[in-house]
Amino acid sequence: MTILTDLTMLEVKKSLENKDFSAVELTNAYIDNIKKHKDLNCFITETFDRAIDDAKATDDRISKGESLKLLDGIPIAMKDLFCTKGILTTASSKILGNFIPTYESTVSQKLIDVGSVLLGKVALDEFAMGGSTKTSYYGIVKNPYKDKTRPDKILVPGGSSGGSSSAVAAGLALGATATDTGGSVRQPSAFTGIVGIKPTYGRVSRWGCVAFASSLDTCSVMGRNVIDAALMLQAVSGYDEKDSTSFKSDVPNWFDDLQKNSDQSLKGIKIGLPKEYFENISEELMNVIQARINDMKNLGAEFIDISLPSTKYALPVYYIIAPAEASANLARYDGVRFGFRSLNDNKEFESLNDMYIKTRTEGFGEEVKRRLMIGTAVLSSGMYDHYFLKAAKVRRIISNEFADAFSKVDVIMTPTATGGAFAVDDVMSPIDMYMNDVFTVASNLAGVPAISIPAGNDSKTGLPFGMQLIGKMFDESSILRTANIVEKTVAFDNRPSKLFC
Amino acid sequence: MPYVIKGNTADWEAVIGLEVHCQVISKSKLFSSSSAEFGAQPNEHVSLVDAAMPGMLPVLNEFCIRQAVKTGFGLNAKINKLSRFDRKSYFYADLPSGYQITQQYAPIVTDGYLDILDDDGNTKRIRINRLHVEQDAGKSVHDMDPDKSFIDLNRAGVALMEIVSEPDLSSPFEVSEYLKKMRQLVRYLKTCDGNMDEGSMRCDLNVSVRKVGETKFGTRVEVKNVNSVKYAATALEYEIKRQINALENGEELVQETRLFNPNTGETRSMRSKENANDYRYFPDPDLLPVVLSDELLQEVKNEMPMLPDERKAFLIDNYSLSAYDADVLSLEKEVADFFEKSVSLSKHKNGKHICNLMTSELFAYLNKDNLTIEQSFVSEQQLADIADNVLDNVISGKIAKDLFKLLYENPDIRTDKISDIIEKQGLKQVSDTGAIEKCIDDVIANNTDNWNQLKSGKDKLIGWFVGQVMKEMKGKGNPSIINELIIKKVKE
Amino acid sequence: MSFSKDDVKNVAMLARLSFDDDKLQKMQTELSAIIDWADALQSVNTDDVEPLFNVSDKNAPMREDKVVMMNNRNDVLQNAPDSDDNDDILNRQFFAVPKMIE
Ligand SMILES: [Mg+2]
Ligand SMILES: [Zn+2]
Repeated sequence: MTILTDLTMLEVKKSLENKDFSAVELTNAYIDNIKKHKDLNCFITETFDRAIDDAKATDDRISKGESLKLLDGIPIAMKDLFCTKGILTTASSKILGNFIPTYESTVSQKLIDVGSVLLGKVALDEFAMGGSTKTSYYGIVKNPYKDKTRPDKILVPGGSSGGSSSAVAAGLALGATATDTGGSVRQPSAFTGIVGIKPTYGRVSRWGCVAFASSLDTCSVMGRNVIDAALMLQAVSGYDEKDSTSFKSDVPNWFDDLQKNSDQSLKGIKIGLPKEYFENISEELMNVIQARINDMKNLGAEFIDISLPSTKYALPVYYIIAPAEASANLARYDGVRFGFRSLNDNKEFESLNDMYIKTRTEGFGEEVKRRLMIGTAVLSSGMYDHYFLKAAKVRRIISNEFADAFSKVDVIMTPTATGGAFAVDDVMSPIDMYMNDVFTVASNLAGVPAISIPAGNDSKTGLPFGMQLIGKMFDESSILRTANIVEKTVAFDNRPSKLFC
Repeated sequence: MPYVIKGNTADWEAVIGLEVHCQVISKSKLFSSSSAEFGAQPNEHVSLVDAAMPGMLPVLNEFCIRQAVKTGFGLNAKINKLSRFDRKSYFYADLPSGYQITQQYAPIVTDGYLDILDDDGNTKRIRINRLHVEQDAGKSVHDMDPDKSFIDLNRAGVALMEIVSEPDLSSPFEVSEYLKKMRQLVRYLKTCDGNMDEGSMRCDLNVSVRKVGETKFGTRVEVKNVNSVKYAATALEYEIKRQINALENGEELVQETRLFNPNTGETRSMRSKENANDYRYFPDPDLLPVVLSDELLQEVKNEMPMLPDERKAFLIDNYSLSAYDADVLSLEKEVADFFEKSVSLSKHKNGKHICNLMTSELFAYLNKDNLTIEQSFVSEQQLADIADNVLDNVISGKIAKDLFKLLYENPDIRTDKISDIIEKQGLKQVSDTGAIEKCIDDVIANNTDNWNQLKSGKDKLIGWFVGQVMKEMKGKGNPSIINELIIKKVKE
Repeated sequence: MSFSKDDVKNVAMLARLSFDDDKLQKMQTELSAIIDWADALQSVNTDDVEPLFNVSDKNAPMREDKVVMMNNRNDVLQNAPDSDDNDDILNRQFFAVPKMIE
């Protein structure tokens, strides 16, 4: 018997057209799964009535014989960072615990426009700050995978897009939106064995997406395989005059491109291996990556050793620039115009400042406050030149190194993360935690597109490992094409029904 | 004599720099498409961007950039082809995003100047450090509720130009001149309406004092909230005295921000321990660098009108006006335009005469009702026609005056041709000597005493008799003929 | 560099946050550690390097000066914290905050 929630988007599209099942049936299957796996705690807000209405609209179109739109009837989850008109949007924070936007983000509007079905809003690290989704005000999100060596442990789904990754991996949504500021789509994708693509900065509009760090925030997507992810990306990409940093150019038809280039050859493709990304990774991870390198060589890819020497500075640069931008972006959460305002034990506030301080102190979680403190500190008087400006200069060097590398290679390949998913209760210092992003932040600093796909499983823990393919600015095509071919060589079963270890 | 303040221990001088905020004339706001118009109901002109809703992003208004460039040209400044916007962070209820978008590190305009008159009437060049573009804040209303303040964001996000001078000003008079000159310039350029009452032009004063001869700057105090030219002078006089007194009493001045209170004419320190100014400026990551093309610069240049000083010189040269008259006419661009158009429409092209009619008659009525020249009840053509009719001896100067009054009081004839009005109202000058002579005889008959005095040599009375005859003829007698005939009669 | 307790308090004030003594202590340690760690950047030679603030190499797009109201007043006031606990006309026109004193 076909398990509807195991089907890929392509299979679903075909089946809906063939009337094998209806969009409502498919949606109900997903709703059942969401109800069954409530313990994963992916959803902050479920929008099932809305989902059924969306699905009915698809079924109507089918019955009228209209040609189906790009994601017609596809049930998706929305990272709760995207403002959705009339639907609670929290950024996983208490401070937006009652915020109901009167507007629709560009990304969510585009997904509505292509006929997708909105199942609900999924959790993230508060304001997308984190790599574990542990910092969500609405409770931890679980990874549907278990570590064989310690099966009693609850694992994190990665972060910040942990609600998205867990939901897609566990079959609670067929695709999901995500955002990636320092690795927030790729690391959780790696941790949950799915595909996540962070497009080029400027490819997808940030309008209506709650800002974390504006020069790094990249609206992104997740799917269970490369084509699904490409379909999602196709739907949300494009110039938006409301976002001054969005890029004015035509969006390539990646979906068509992948369909046409489905031969298994990587001939003519030059892949760079930056040595800095292979230092200090576990043997198990190295083995998996090496196996993929061998596969790709067999398919005709040419590997070239390269160096991105300033990689080691990417993390400190990131942890100066991102908090600095965040400290200003989050100043608007002040209890004046929207969101949470401290109740102050039902007493009058002493002053406006009193209200600000109580509202923000009660409304933000620990990690957000830590980053606001870092960001405020590095911009404060006497610190700007030494930290912020210095970081912006090193960012230029990092970006130039990528440009140099791409004069020699088409795609850069690295592990996505240093390992597999860790446990919710693993003890880490803030800096240890920040190290999570070590392989992903540089592409945010440089703005280049990057995709994470499942590379294989950890021979010890059984957990999925991710590999990352990084492309030149606006060349999502190369990484999607390469990923699509590599994917087929990986003996990795990403059917949700087979997931739970 | 430069402005020197005599203290008890020494002679002092003031060092003053100005930051003038000019609200840019534009339809929509700097980074959002909501209306920038003044006077709407509270929060009616507020977009989601202005209210800093989550996920909202700024998009730059090109016209505001052109306005800044235009003002930069007017200030003889360097226009920077690459500039950037920065965030200036501070928390305040009328600042929705918690930061103001401004240009701290790379302003659009730098290194300009404005020439003013100093206390001795000499031209003094005041250097302009920079002009940058930034957002205005909203408004807080405090007097409607005992425990609440209310926030109106209509003005939040409206474009401002902040024009920062070098500390080249040294007296309240110079500051007044500078402000008037600045106001005149932006009004000429139509980049700001210069309306200080409505707050579309506001200024902050940076003031320090030092002993005459000293070259080091003293401790600087910033005086905020100075919203008229008069207040600027009052605030400065107070602040300069306060600083000198303090220093002469051996007190140490602190670098601080003070507020001017227009009711008392005093400045007072702002208690702001919580707002220790640390604005944490950094480039706004939502906005990219502003790069001005040569085409844009050329287009703006082509739109530049003749500037006030140039216009004044032009009026003197082309219409043989006195410096005083040219000054009056060039105060506002629209007045000079009105004048020149009127002259061009007239037959006699007598600038001096038209200028006199404007300054003595037209302005009196306009000022009475606080009207601008654009609201004039007399058109350029009508003014030209009145002037021509006087010079052609069709009407007398007295009747010309009456015509202004007539037009002022009768809106229904304002569209009529002057010649028709003269005809219809029978205002034509009488040059028929018979009629005039008859009238002169009547006046003499009624004023025999004066007539005898005149005859016996009191020549001053000629004027009086001319006036009486004119009065008798209801202003329509030709004054030179009347004059001539009276002199003839005296000699008889 | 290390942060003194007063430095941390000052930064907290700028960010409009407050920490009780325990948390302030912890924040002081963490902030100092993070800043120390970030000091690694000081060893990079950045002479003649232009800072990179945004990877987009295009210029700020500029919009035409046109008024387009995308929303009405209700939309901006809808989520205001004080707006529904009383139906005071003022609250339906303004954002209300505790009395501000200058
Ligand atoms: Mg200022
Ligand atoms: Zn300013």
